[in-house]
Amino acid sequence: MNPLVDRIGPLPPILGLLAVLSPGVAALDMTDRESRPCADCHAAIVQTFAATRMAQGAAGEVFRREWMEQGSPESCLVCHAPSGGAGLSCNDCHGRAGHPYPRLQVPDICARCHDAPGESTVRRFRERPETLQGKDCLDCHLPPGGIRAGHGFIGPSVPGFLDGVARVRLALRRGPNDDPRVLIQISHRAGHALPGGTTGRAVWLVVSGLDTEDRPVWRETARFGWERQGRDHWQDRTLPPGSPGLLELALDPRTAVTRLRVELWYRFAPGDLETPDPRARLLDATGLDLCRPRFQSISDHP
Amino acid sequence: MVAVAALVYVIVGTAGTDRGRPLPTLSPETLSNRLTQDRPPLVLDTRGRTAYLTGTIPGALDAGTDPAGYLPDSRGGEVVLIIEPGTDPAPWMNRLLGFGYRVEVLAGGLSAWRAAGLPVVDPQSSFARPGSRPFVIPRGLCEMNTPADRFY
Repeated sequence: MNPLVDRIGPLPPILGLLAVLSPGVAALDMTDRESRPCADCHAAIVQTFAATRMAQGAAGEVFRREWMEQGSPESCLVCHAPSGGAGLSCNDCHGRAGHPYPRLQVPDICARCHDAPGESTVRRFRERPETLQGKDCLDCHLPPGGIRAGHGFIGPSVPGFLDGVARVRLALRRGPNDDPRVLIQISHRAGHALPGGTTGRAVWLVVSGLDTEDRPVWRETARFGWERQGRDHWQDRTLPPGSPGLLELALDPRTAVTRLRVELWYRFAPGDLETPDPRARLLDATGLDLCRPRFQSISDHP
Repeated sequence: MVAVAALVYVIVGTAGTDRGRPLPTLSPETLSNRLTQDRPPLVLDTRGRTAYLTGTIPGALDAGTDPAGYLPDSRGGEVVLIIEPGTDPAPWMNRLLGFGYRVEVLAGGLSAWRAAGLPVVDPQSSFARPGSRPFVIPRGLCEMNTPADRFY
């Protein structure tokens, strides 16, 4: 049984009435139409969708390797390739009830997989409706200027998609009785937590203290993503939508730090920062010069 | 109530300024709306550590109480100050204007924000854990839990 099909209700009464009143639209036509590949009539849509990551959900190198390591469990394919093949097909979302296919409800249809174990994307999206200003998944995950019925779904893998999605603010606070504290605020405008998507992805904050020769003499990192707690427990430590995340780091005044640099990275590959990830993207970066006259600060990322 | 608090604040709170021009303020409702925009203002809480930890506006930074001890980045943009009523905001404004910020003061301070029914949070709930390395690598999560088709 396909749970997607199970969720599709009966045809609206008006469509049944039209069918009765239009016997000329022969049952032959309908049967013929249902038996033909979608691409016969919807070539452009099928072609567009075929180029997306969703259409290749089970074909990626990372998925294939991990899937085989786990003994190729069928449960993975419920989302990665429900009908077999390289990824999702038309019927996996639209069902198999035939024409006229019911209109899909966003984000419910997305939640079937994007709230599956290892994801909380749609759940986090629903948490903060006031930040969404009436937007839904398609406002960001279809190419700008396209139609909402388009099928060219985009995500972080598409160059430029992450541009401007997150912003880091950096400051230093000195108190008369305290060591200096580095203040960091991370805000993002994803409608869901950042990163959305699957467990391997993470946002990394890298804070570096540099000396007068620009050599790193102090470093702190923080990872925002899913984190394993014991054998079977996982903690969602992604950056929630809405209010910014905050960090306060004590800066030892004995270090020779004269300049701070903060970078925010989006990484696809599981692993620590030393794990190569050629697809990693720098989301934002800024710096703070602690020694300039009048504590002048600098900024080096647009 | 909010309007009264804002009026009192403007009268009392601006008494100590010597800049010769009206103090730029914004209402809690206006700030709340701006915080949901793509480029929200940076909110600085200048009331001190104890007050900050008791509750503040979501996402606000504890800037301390000494403007000279606060060194911001120079990315500019809009800053909104949470000021303890009766405190002169002029030193904070001068400091931040010098770094290229546009500065406004929350009318009525945090009291007006609360009175407007807007959320106040324990800022520590938004704190990320620094230095949280090494990390256990998330792999195979799907396989270790309920399959997706029986998730609901």
